[in-house]
Amino acid sequence: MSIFIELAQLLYDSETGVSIRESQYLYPLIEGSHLLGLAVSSGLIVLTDLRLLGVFLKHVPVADMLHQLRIWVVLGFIGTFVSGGLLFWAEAATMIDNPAFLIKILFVLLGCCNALWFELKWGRRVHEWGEQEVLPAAVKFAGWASLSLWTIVIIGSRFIPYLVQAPV
Amino acid sequence: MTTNQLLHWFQDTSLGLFVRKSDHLVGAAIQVFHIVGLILLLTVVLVLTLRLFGFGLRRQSVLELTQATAPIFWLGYGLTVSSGLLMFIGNAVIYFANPAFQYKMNLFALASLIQIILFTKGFNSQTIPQAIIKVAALFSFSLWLAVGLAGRAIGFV
Repeated sequence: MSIFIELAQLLYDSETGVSIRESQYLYPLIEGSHLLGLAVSSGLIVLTDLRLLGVFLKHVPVADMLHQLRIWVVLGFIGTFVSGGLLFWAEAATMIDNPAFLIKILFVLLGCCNALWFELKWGRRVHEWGEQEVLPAAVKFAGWASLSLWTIVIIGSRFIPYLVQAPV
Repeated sequence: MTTNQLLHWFQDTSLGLFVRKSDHLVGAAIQVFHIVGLILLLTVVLVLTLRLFGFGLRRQSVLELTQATAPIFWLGYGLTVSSGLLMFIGNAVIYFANPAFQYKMNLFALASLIQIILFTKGFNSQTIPQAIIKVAALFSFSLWLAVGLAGRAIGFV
Protein backbone atom coordinates (compact mmCIF):
# COMPACT_ATOMS: atom_id res chain seq x y z
CA MET A 1 0.00 0.00 0.00
CA SER A 2 2.89 2.35 0.74
CA ILE A 3 3.87 2.54 -2.93
CA PHE A 4 0.35 3.81 -3.70
CA ILE A 5 0.61 6.36 -0.90
CA GLU A 6 3.96 7.57 -2.23
CA LEU A 7 2.62 7.82 -5.78
CA ALA A 8 -0.42 9.71 -4.51
CA GLN A 9 1.85 12.08 -2.61
CA LEU A 10 3.91 12.66 -5.78
CA LEU A 11 0.77 13.54 -7.74
CA TYR A 12 -0.47 15.72 -4.88
CA ASP A 13 2.81 17.67 -4.76
CA SER A 14 3.22 17.93 -8.54
CA GLU A 15 2.90 21.31 -10.19
CA THR A 16 -0.35 20.36 -11.92
CA GLY A 17 -1.80 18.91 -8.73
CA VAL A 18 -1.01 22.03 -6.73
CA SER A 19 -2.26 24.46 -9.38
CA ILE A 20 -5.62 22.65 -9.76
CA ARG A 21 -6.06 22.45 -6.01
CA GLU A 22 -5.27 26.09 -5.43
CA SER A 23 -7.05 27.67 -8.39
CA GLN A 24 -10.12 29.64 -7.51
CA TYR A 25 -12.26 28.75 -10.52
CA LEU A 26 -10.71 25.67 -12.13
CA TYR A 27 -11.28 23.34 -9.19
CA PRO A 28 -14.99 24.12 -8.72
CA LEU A 29 -15.49 24.00 -12.49
CA ILE A 30 -13.90 20.55 -12.71
CA GLU A 31 -16.08 19.40 -9.82
CA GLY A 32 -19.10 20.82 -11.62
CA SER A 33 -18.24 18.96 -14.84
CA HIS A 34 -17.70 15.82 -12.80
CA LEU A 35 -21.22 16.12 -11.40
CA LEU A 36 -22.83 16.93 -14.76
CA GLY A 37 -20.94 14.17 -16.61
CA LEU A 38 -22.10 11.76 -13.93
CA ALA A 39 -25.67 12.97 -14.22
CA VAL A 40 -25.66 12.39 -17.98
CA SER A 41 -23.99 8.97 -17.98
CA SER A 42 -25.45 7.38 -14.88
CA GLY A 43 -28.85 8.96 -15.51
CA LEU A 44 -29.09 7.33 -18.92
CA ILE A 45 -27.81 4.09 -17.41
CA VAL A 46 -30.61 4.24 -14.83
CA LEU A 47 -33.19 4.66 -17.62
CA THR A 48 -31.68 1.69 -19.48
CA ASP A 49 -31.69 -0.40 -16.28
CA LEU A 50 -35.35 0.46 -15.66
CA ARG A 51 -36.10 -0.70 -19.22
CA LEU A 52 -34.27 -3.99 -18.56
CA LEU A 53 -36.33 -4.44 -15.39
CA GLY A 54 -39.47 -3.85 -17.44
CA VAL A 55 -40.76 -0.91 -15.42
CA PHE A 56 -40.09 1.85 -17.96
CA LEU A 57 -40.74 2.31 -21.72
CA LYS A 58 -41.83 -1.31 -22.01
CA HIS A 59 -42.83 -0.90 -25.65
CA VAL A 60 -39.45 0.52 -26.68
CA PRO A 61 -37.23 -2.27 -28.09
CA VAL A 62 -34.24 -2.86 -25.79
CA ALA A 63 -31.95 -2.62 -28.83
CA ASP A 64 -33.06 1.00 -29.38
CA MET A 65 -32.33 1.92 -25.78
CA LEU A 66 -28.90 0.27 -25.88
CA HIS A 67 -27.73 1.48 -29.27
CA GLN A 68 -29.17 4.98 -29.56
CA LEU A 69 -28.27 6.07 -26.05
CA ARG A 70 -24.84 4.45 -25.99
CA ILE A 71 -22.88 7.36 -27.48
CA TRP A 72 -24.30 9.75 -24.85
CA VAL A 73 -23.57 7.36 -22.01
CA VAL A 74 -19.99 6.99 -23.27
CA LEU A 75 -19.51 10.76 -23.76
CA GLY A 76 -20.84 11.47 -20.27
CA PHE A 77 -18.65 8.74 -18.83
CA ILE A 78 -15.53 10.11 -20.55
CA GLY A 79 -16.30 13.57 -19.14
CA THR A 80 -16.77 12.10 -15.65
CA PHE A 81 -13.63 9.99 -15.95
CA VAL A 82 -11.39 12.83 -17.17
CA SER A 83 -12.68 15.35 -14.60
CA GLY A 84 -12.44 12.68 -11.89
CA GLY A 85 -8.83 11.99 -12.88
CA LEU A 86 -8.00 15.70 -12.59
CA LEU A 87 -9.69 15.90 -9.19
CA PHE A 88 -7.70 12.89 -8.03
CA TRP A 89 -4.51 14.51 -9.31
CA ALA A 90 -5.22 17.52 -7.10
CA GLU A 91 -6.34 15.57 -4.04
CA ALA A 92 -4.51 12.26 -4.39
CA ALA A 93 -2.80 12.33 -1.00
CA THR A 94 -6.05 12.89 0.90
CA MET A 95 -8.03 10.44 -1.28
CA ILE A 96 -5.77 7.41 -1.14
CA ASP A 97 -6.64 6.60 2.48
CA ASN A 98 -10.23 7.86 2.33
CA PRO A 99 -12.57 4.90 2.90
CA ALA A 100 -15.43 6.52 0.94
CA PHE A 101 -13.15 7.11 -2.05
CA LEU A 102 -11.77 3.57 -2.00
CA ILE A 103 -15.24 2.03 -1.77
CA LYS A 104 -16.36 4.28 -4.60
CA ILE A 105 -13.49 3.20 -6.88
CA LEU A 106 -14.16 -0.45 -6.06
CA PHE A 107 -17.81 -0.06 -7.06
CA VAL A 108 -16.89 1.89 -10.22
CA LEU A 109 -14.79 -1.14 -11.23
CA LEU A 110 -17.63 -3.53 -10.34
CA GLY A 111 -20.08 -1.37 -12.32
CA CYS A 112 -17.76 -1.45 -15.34
CA CYS A 113 -17.33 -5.24 -15.04
CA ASN A 114 -21.10 -5.68 -14.90
CA ALA A 115 -21.57 -3.46 -17.97
CA LEU A 116 -18.84 -5.30 -19.87
CA TRP A 117 -20.25 -8.71 -18.92
CA PHE A 118 -23.72 -7.62 -19.98
CA GLU A 119 -22.46 -6.25 -23.30
CA LEU A 120 -20.43 -9.34 -24.19
CA LYS A 121 -22.93 -11.92 -23.00
CA TRP A 122 -26.26 -10.22 -23.82
CA GLY A 123 -25.87 -6.85 -25.50
CA ARG A 124 -24.27 -8.28 -28.65
CA ARG A 125 -27.25 -10.54 -29.34
CA VAL A 126 -29.96 -8.20 -28.13
CA HIS A 127 -31.99 -8.95 -31.27
CA GLU A 128 -32.52 -12.53 -30.08
CA TRP A 129 -34.17 -11.54 -26.80
CA GLY A 130 -34.84 -7.78 -26.88
CA GLU A 131 -38.41 -8.03 -28.17
CA GLN A 132 -39.59 -10.64 -25.67
CA GLU A 133 -42.44 -9.72 -23.36
CA VAL A 134 -40.53 -11.02 -20.31
CA LEU A 135 -36.77 -10.51 -20.49
CA PRO A 136 -34.32 -13.26 -19.45
CA ALA A 137 -33.64 -13.44 -15.71
CA ALA A 138 -29.91 -12.78 -16.24
CA VAL A 139 -30.73 -9.54 -18.08
CA LYS A 140 -32.90 -8.37 -15.20
CA PHE A 141 -30.13 -9.32 -12.82
CA ALA A 142 -27.70 -7.15 -14.78
CA GLY A 143 -30.22 -4.29 -14.55
CA TRP A 144 -30.56 -4.65 -10.78
CA ALA A 145 -26.79 -4.99 -10.38
CA SER A 146 -26.17 -1.86 -12.44
CA LEU A 147 -28.76 0.16 -10.50
CA SER A 148 -27.33 -0.91 -7.13
CA LEU A 149 -23.65 -0.57 -8.06
CA TRP A 150 -23.95 2.94 -9.53
CA THR A 151 -26.14 4.04 -6.61
CA ILE A 152 -23.42 2.95 -4.19
CA VAL A 153 -20.87 4.83 -6.33
CA ILE A 154 -22.91 8.03 -5.96
CA ILE A 155 -23.39 7.54 -2.21
CA GLY A 156 -19.67 6.81 -1.77
CA SER A 157 -18.75 9.92 -3.76
CA ARG A 158 -20.93 12.22 -1.72
CA PHE A 159 -19.39 10.93 1.50
CA ILE A 160 -15.79 11.54 0.33
CA PRO A 161 -15.42 15.08 1.74
CA TYR A 162 -16.86 13.95 5.08
CA LEU A 163 -14.30 11.21 5.59
CA VAL A 164 -11.11 13.07 4.60
CA GLN A 165 -8.25 12.38 6.99
CA ALA A 166 -6.01 15.27 7.98
CA PRO A 167 -3.84 16.20 4.95
CA VAL A 168 -0.22 15.12 5.10
CA MET B 1 -41.09 40.79 9.89
CA THR B 2 -37.93 41.43 7.88
CA THR B 3 -36.43 38.79 5.58
CA ASN B 4 -33.64 38.25 8.04
CA GLN B 5 -36.03 37.63 10.92
CA LEU B 6 -37.98 35.24 8.74
CA LEU B 7 -34.79 33.30 7.86
CA HIS B 8 -33.84 33.11 11.54
CA TRP B 9 -37.31 31.92 12.42
CA PHE B 10 -37.01 29.24 9.70
CA GLN B 11 -33.73 27.85 10.91
CA ASP B 12 -34.81 27.96 14.55
CA THR B 13 -37.89 25.83 13.99
CA SER B 14 -37.56 22.35 15.43
CA LEU B 15 -36.91 20.93 11.95
CA GLY B 16 -34.23 23.55 11.28
CA LEU B 17 -32.56 22.85 14.61
CA PHE B 18 -32.74 19.13 13.98
CA VAL B 19 -30.95 19.47 10.62
CA ARG B 20 -28.34 21.90 11.92
CA LYS B 21 -27.54 19.97 15.08
CA SER B 22 -27.53 16.52 13.51
CA ASP B 23 -24.40 14.59 12.63
CA HIS B 24 -22.64 15.76 9.46
CA LEU B 25 -23.27 12.34 7.92
CA VAL B 26 -27.00 13.13 8.06
CA GLY B 27 -26.18 16.18 5.94
CA ALA B 28 -24.27 13.98 3.52
CA ALA B 29 -27.24 11.60 3.28
CA ILE B 30 -29.57 14.49 2.47
CA GLN B 31 -27.12 15.56 -0.25
CA VAL B 32 -27.16 12.06 -1.74
CA PHE B 33 -30.93 12.38 -2.22
CA HIS B 34 -30.40 15.86 -3.66
CA ILE B 35 -27.94 14.52 -6.25
CA VAL B 36 -29.98 11.42 -7.11
CA GLY B 37 -32.96 13.70 -7.71
CA LEU B 38 -30.89 15.97 -9.94
CA ILE B 39 -29.64 12.98 -11.93
CA LEU B 40 -33.17 11.70 -12.51
CA LEU B 41 -34.61 15.03 -13.63
CA LEU B 42 -31.59 15.97 -15.73
CA THR B 43 -31.68 12.61 -17.52
CA VAL B 44 -35.31 13.04 -18.49
CA VAL B 45 -34.61 16.54 -19.82
CA LEU B 46 -31.62 15.15 -21.75
CA VAL B 47 -33.56 12.23 -23.26
CA LEU B 48 -36.39 14.50 -24.37
CA THR B 49 -33.94 17.01 -25.85
CA LEU B 50 -32.07 14.25 -27.69
CA ARG B 51 -35.36 12.92 -29.03
CA LEU B 52 -36.51 16.35 -30.23
CA PHE B 53 -33.28 16.75 -32.18
CA GLY B 54 -33.51 13.19 -33.53
CA PHE B 55 -30.40 11.95 -31.73
CA GLY B 56 -31.99 9.13 -29.75
CA LEU B 57 -35.08 6.89 -29.44
CA ARG B 58 -36.28 8.08 -32.84
CA ARG B 59 -38.91 5.37 -33.19
CA GLN B 60 -40.92 6.76 -30.28
CA SER B 61 -43.00 9.87 -30.69
CA VAL B 62 -42.09 12.87 -28.55
CA LEU B 63 -45.50 12.63 -26.92
CA GLU B 64 -45.00 8.97 -26.04
CA LEU B 65 -41.59 9.67 -24.49
CA THR B 66 -42.91 12.68 -22.60
CA GLN B 67 -45.66 10.59 -21.02
CA ALA B 68 -43.28 7.76 -20.15
CA THR B 69 -40.60 9.99 -18.64
CA ALA B 70 -42.77 12.55 -16.85
CA PRO B 71 -43.16 10.41 -13.66
CA ILE B 72 -39.37 10.02 -13.45
CA PHE B 73 -38.93 13.76 -13.92
CA TRP B 74 -41.38 14.53 -11.12
CA LEU B 75 -39.83 11.92 -8.86
CA GLY B 76 -36.42 13.57 -9.36
CA TYR B 77 -37.91 17.02 -8.98
CA GLY B 78 -39.64 16.05 -5.74
CA LEU B 79 -36.45 14.52 -4.36
CA THR B 80 -34.27 17.56 -5.14
CA VAL B 81 -36.82 20.07 -3.87
CA SER B 82 -37.59 18.25 -0.63
CA SER B 83 -33.94 17.47 0.18
CA GLY B 84 -32.99 21.03 -0.85
CA LEU B 85 -35.62 22.47 1.49
CA LEU B 86 -34.26 20.33 4.33
CA MET B 87 -30.73 21.65 3.73
CA PHE B 88 -32.01 25.22 3.45
CA ILE B 89 -34.09 25.15 6.61
CA GLY B 90 -31.08 24.02 8.63
CA ASN B 91 -28.94 27.00 7.58
CA ALA B 92 -31.34 29.47 5.99
CA VAL B 93 -29.39 32.62 6.94
CA ILE B 94 -26.09 31.40 5.49
CA TYR B 95 -27.64 30.00 2.30
CA PHE B 96 -29.71 33.08 1.61
CA ALA B 97 -26.63 35.31 1.75
CA ASN B 98 -24.60 33.03 -0.56
CA PRO B 99 -24.34 34.57 -4.09
CA ALA B 100 -24.08 31.14 -5.76
CA PHE B 101 -27.25 30.08 -3.94
CA GLN B 102 -29.08 33.19 -5.18
CA TYR B 103 -27.98 32.53 -8.77
CA LYS B 104 -29.00 28.93 -8.41
CA MET B 105 -32.48 29.75 -7.12
CA ASN B 106 -33.11 32.24 -9.95
CA LEU B 107 -31.92 29.73 -12.55
CA PHE B 108 -33.97 27.03 -10.85
CA ALA B 109 -37.14 29.12 -10.93
CA LEU B 110 -36.67 29.88 -14.63
CA ALA B 111 -35.77 26.28 -15.51
CA SER B 112 -38.80 24.96 -13.60
CA LEU B 113 -41.12 27.41 -15.32
CA ILE B 114 -39.90 26.52 -18.82
CA GLN B 115 -39.92 22.80 -18.05
CA ILE B 116 -43.49 22.90 -16.76
CA ILE B 117 -44.63 24.82 -19.83
CA LEU B 118 -42.85 22.29 -22.06
CA PHE B 119 -44.45 19.36 -20.24
CA THR B 120 -47.96 20.77 -20.19
CA LYS B 121 -48.16 22.77 -23.42
CA GLY B 122 -45.00 22.33 -25.52
CA PHE B 123 -44.21 18.68 -26.16
CA ASN B 124 -47.73 17.68 -27.14
CA SER B 125 -48.63 20.82 -29.06
CA GLN B 126 -49.77 20.58 -32.66
CA THR B 127 -49.68 24.31 -33.26
CA ILE B 128 -46.35 25.53 -31.85
CA PRO B 129 -43.61 25.20 -34.52
CA GLN B 130 -41.08 22.42 -33.84
CA ALA B 131 -38.18 24.87 -34.10
CA ILE B 132 -39.47 26.89 -31.14
CA ILE B 133 -39.95 23.77 -29.04
CA LYS B 134 -36.44 22.59 -29.92
CA VAL B 135 -34.88 25.90 -28.92
CA ALA B 136 -36.91 25.94 -25.69
CA ALA B 137 -35.86 22.37 -24.87
CA LEU B 138 -32.19 23.10 -25.50
CA PHE B 139 -32.44 26.27 -23.43
CA SER B 140 -34.10 24.42 -20.59
CA PHE B 141 -31.43 21.66 -20.69
CA SER B 142 -28.68 24.32 -20.48
CA LEU B 143 -30.51 26.00 -17.61
CA TRP B 144 -30.64 22.74 -15.64
CA LEU B 145 -26.90 22.25 -16.22
CA ALA B 146 -26.35 25.80 -14.95
CA VAL B 147 -28.50 25.03 -11.89
CA GLY B 148 -26.23 22.05 -11.18
CA LEU B 149 -23.05 24.10 -11.61
CA ALA B 150 -24.33 26.96 -9.46
CA GLY B 151 -25.36 24.42 -6.82
CA ARG B 152 -21.89 22.94 -6.87
CA ALA B 153 -20.47 26.45 -6.47
CA ILE B 154 -22.39 27.10 -3.22
CA GLY B 155 -19.75 25.32 -1.20
CA PHE B 156 -16.94 27.35 -2.75
CA VAL B 157 -18.08 30.97 -2.27
